[in-house]
Amino acid sequence: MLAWHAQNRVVVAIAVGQEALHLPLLLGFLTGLHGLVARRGGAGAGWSRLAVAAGATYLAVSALYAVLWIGAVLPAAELSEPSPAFELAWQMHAAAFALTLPALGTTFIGAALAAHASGLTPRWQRSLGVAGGGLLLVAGAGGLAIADGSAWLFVGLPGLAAWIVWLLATGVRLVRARADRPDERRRPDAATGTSAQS
Amino acid sequence: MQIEQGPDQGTRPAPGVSPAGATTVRVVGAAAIALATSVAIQNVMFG
Repeated sequence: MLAWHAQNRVVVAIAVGQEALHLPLLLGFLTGLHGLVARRGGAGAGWSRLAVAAGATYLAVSALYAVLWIGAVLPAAELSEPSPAFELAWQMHAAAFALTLPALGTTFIGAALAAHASGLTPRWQRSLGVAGGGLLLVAGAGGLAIADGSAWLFVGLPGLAAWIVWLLATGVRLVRARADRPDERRRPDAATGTSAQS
Repeated sequence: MQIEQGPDQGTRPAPGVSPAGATTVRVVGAAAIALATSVAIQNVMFG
């Protein structure tokens, strides 16, 4: 692990930079989704509030995860063997990552239920959100094992993949939206601009 | 954009169909796509 960090500092720099990018993107998306839900009659507003709160928690834990990763990678090039401080930073980084899983799972479930309740997404996306978010919650329950390098982490990976698919599908639907018609609220077609007959 | 006849026989956008509202929806969608792309790249790097 020490050697990997010593040789891949640029990769870590990119990943940490992406974490900084995720903060405005996720908060912007979740607060925007909450606004859309409220504008479409408020069905699912409770779920969207849950998503905003969970998303902020996720980003706070992610910030800790990134900070500890920086603390592990910076001294790596100068160490010939892992120091106690390096090992502590690395273990705390892994533990913080494990704790991001239930926070992301809650965010995912809240956003998927809110988007479907307000008619922004079809039923399959709600199912994807509940299943994927549930897997992330289950994986997060094994936080200590994940921090210790357990394969329990792989329980959460399908949930992470589902989160990416859900975000892409929802994003495409919203970008292609024609208009937010009051008389067609609660219909996914109204948000996407696709014809009901097609 | 949906158009309806007003009392003065002119035209105006139907309520709730403002260009600003449509832009907001697209911005939220673009944020979702950008976030998904970034998370996917991150996972490919460490996959």
